[in-house]
Amino acid sequence: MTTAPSPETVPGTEDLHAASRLLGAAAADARRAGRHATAALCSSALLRTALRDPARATATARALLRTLTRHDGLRHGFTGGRLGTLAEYAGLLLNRPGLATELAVTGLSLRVRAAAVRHPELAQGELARLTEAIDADRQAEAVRIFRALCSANGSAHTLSSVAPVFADLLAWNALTDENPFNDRSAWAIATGEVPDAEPLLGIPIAFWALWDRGPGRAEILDPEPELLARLATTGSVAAWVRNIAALGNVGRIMVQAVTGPDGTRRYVLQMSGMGGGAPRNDSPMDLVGGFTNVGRTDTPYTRAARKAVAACVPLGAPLAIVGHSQGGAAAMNLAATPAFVRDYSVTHVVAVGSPIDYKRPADPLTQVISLVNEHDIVPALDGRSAVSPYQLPDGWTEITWLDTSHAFPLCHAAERYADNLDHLVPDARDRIDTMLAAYRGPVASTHVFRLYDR
Amino acid sequence: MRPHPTSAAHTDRLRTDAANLGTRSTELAELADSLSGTGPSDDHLRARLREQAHRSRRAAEDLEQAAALLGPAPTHHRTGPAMAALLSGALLATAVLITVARRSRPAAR
Repeated sequence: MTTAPSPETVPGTEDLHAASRLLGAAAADARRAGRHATAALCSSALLRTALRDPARATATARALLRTLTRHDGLRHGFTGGRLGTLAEYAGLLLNRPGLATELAVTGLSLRVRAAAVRHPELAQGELARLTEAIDADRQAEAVRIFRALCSANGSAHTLSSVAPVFADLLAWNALTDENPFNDRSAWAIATGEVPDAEPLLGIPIAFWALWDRGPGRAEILDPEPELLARLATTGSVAAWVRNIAALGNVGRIMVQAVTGPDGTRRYVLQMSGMGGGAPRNDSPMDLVGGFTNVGRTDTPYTRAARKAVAACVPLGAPLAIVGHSQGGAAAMNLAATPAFVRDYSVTHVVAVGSPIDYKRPADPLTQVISLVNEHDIVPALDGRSAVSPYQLPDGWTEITWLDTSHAFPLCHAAERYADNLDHLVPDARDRIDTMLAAYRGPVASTHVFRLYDR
Repeated sequence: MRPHPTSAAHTDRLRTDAANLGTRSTELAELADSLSGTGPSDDHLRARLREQAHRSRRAAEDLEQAAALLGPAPTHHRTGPAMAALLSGALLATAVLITVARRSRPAAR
């Protein structure tokens, strides 16, 4: 395992990021121009002109069509509205990418190039061939290369290798493949906006939300002695992450009361990630919950967690939330819920290996800390990778590092993150502990809950 | 005749898009010129950026032309003033007729 400088400090990276952002903005401008020209072509205004002055309307329609189809212009700029969408899909099937798509793809390729400065393996050997195949719209070859990599190195190693640019590669592939349904999220990723669907098949978050329903229920548990023996008795970020590992991925969360250095009673909510079992089960920490917690704020997980907090935390009490994986997304969801932050003073959210980059706390004073191992795919599932050219909001603390064991899903485990904090990035751990100094003190009480959808 | 509000909105949007793409074209060309790498992939990227800058410029010109055609009709086609004069005349004539009719009504009884 090695540590690495932050993405901004790697020479050459910032220039490539700036170029990538410019291309993303240019792509968005070209797409918008195509949408407006399509709208004008299909508009009632043009029809009215045709009734009044047919010659002029014909000239205008021809000018708009030329704008939308000129080979050395927008080339295939149709988009928006029923007719525009149909024409856009036809272009995808006929493999006629427009200027907007080509600008977006160039921007994404620059992101991969920037990531390769920090992760040289991305520009070498089979991984380089993989990106070349995607770039040349040879999806079948890209899939073959990916499968060969999985056979040779194992899928865990391969997924970890592409993790720094996982979202960008998915978006790149989505923009160049023939599937029109994954383009929306790909566009969001390419232009630094919030995707509302996953970029592989294009299944919208709203679809997953249909399967993730329920008012949420929290059942208090008598923690078994083995669990209590594994829990930390003093507060520190690595200890809380280890607590989450001890809770396991079985639908449990925990609230600990700590006595801070000033004698004040404060609370730490520790939220675990996705559990095993069927994609949809009675726990809110199932697969469908994973998707909805990334894309939505109000979910069965957050509803159940609010009930757990209400059962043991007095109103107005200071609260820090530490969440791993799906638990980190749910932690940010709680912090983004105005009613929750009115009831409790949510001072900190620590998201560990979680896709939270497009979430925002309702209280601007809430400090957000995101911990990301760059070879972990999960934090990039919201469409923003750790080496993204788009910066997080001011005041956020994002700490990224390289665990070169390249072993996903092992490198995603809470226990592994705790080990990384202690042995790989101890300075970062100490910095976070300083930020959370008010919560460092003996544990006064522990409440463990099992959460259910209903 | 003044352009219909919807038509004016389309025209404004196309003109804004043309201006934006013109600016992007300049920025992309500058980016291509600023690339310092000398490898084949750098040459490929430079060529790609220049081509995209050129296409953005052409798209901006196309949009500007389309906006000009979609905008207000040329002066010789305008019928607004004549129509206004005709309406005014008709209104005046109606007013005169009504006044004359009212004045002549008591005498008729």
